[in-house]
Amino acid sequence: MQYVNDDMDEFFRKAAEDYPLDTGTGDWTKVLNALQNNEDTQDSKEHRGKYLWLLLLLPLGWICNQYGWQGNSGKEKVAEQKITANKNQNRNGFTKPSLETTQYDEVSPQFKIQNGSVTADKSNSSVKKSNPFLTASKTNNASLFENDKLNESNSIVTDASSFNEIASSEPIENKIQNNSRAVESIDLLPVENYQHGFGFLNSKSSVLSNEIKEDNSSKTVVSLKPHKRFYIGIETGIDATTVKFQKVKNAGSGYGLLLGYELNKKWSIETGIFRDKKLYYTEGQYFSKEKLYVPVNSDITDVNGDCNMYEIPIALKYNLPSKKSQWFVTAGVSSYFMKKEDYNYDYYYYNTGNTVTHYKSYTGSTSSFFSVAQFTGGYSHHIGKIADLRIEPYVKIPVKQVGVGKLPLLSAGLNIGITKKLF
Amino acid sequence: MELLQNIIAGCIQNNQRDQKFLYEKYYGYCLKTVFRYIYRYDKAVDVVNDGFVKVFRNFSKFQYKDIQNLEMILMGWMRMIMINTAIDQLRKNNFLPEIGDISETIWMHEDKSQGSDHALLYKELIKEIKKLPPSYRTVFNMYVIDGFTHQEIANRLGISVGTSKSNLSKARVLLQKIVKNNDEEAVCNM
Repeated sequence: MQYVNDDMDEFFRKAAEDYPLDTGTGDWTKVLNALQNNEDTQDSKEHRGKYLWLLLLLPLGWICNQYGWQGNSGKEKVAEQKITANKNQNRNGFTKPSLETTQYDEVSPQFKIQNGSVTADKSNSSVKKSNPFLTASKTNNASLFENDKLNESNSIVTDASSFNEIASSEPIENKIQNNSRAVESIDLLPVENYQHGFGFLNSKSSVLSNEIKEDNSSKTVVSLKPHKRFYIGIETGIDATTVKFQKVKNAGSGYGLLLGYELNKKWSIETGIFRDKKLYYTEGQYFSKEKLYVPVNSDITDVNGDCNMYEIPIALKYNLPSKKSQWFVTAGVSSYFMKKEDYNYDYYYYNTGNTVTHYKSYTGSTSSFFSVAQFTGGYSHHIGKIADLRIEPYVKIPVKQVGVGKLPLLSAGLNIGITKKLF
Repeated sequence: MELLQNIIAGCIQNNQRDQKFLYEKYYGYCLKTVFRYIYRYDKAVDVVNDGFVKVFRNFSKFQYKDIQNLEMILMGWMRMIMINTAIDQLRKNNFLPEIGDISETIWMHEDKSQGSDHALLYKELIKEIKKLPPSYRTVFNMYVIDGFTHQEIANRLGISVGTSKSNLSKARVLLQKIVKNNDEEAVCNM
């Protein structure tokens, strides 16, 4: 058989060289015009390239975004406290409360006011977190007391030993004068984690606790860290696709890049680009024959599809209200851009009664915008401080028919991914 | 050979006179190559003209070391561009088969020389190749006549190596029947 093939191949090669085709002389004018047109197109492309440098301005937008949010509502408000504005402002702009004794109207239940001073009620040692407190800027006078430490939100947490240091017989005013750091950061009032109460407060003054009273005349907002809104992620998953609820033969897969923007704590917008591999089966009656050649004495009975496509989703994400967990739901639409469609068609020939399988592949054949509506519900879990792990089952309901065969593809699956906030 | 070198140098410089000379000299060769891939004659002419535009635009990329075989190298380079252009045209149409007969006016007139019998046979064989489904025809042309490997065919057409081999095998089966029938007719006519 090999020799037969070789002989035949040689025969056809000779035929290909010497077959009597009347070629004529061609049309040089057409070629010349095409060459000249191409030169004009090339010039216009070069002109277009002159404006590519404008893309360099994009990082400028990022920089403005990063620094333009300083001091506005884009950053997280860690604490808000109203303090009494008076004329005793030091050179750093911190307002020194006056040294006069005032009553602190809203006192934690565990403290009681006696003789003009606030003392601890040791019968109730629970710390009330409802007490307002100030947190100092991290960069300026980060710690009033030596034992202060920063918690996760960069607020100052002072433990009891710091109060004990102050709870000496020495008048508080002297202590303040001797401790310049304390003077400059007098607006700091640590409250949380305090266990022993304000025992150091004496009858002369109650500077630290009593100098703060509600005042609507001024307001200070202290924010510590910028809130990152843009996030990026990678996802991968398995997929099961059916056409009109027919049998699912094999599982497909997908992977891709996710991009998101947090509008606020609850709502986010997400998009991305994914590469999907979908495997599905359909009876021939549901497969469009527009781009197929079907001989008159035959019919397509079954079609098995193996399709690679790009998917671009756009969705709205809602974080369900919860203290600890991060459940979320998303809803959106996706567009499919078919990269390659491979089909095995079963042709049934009526004259012979035989079923023959033919294979056909289409590349870059169709695009279908907003062709499926997708709904997901998932869970996000922090991986340390670096990233979030995201598990997301989904269902995609066909809105339009896609592909060469114009099929409504219903998909369900599970995506797992990792996301990270960027800026 | 020196003339050809001068022509090539002129084409690189976009000299229209040299380009026209090259076009008219190798037009027939390129059309016979493309016509094996493209079913219709007028479409094949368009593909050849597109191919020559690519040839002249990319002449600066043509390199040769062996001056003795310069013409063979040049023809091989142009042939590759013509085949790629023909395949691009077929892929645009998703390798859909075309219908209709091939007009007899495109063939050269028969004469009574000794070689005319062979020419007639070659014409019939090429017609049978053109009747193959486009995917079979392309693989057969690329593998048997133009010397591509199955891997190169698979890469170029976006198919698997197995599919390439399968298409070639099916094309051979169909063509073998034709050759066998022709032999039988030749024996009967003797």
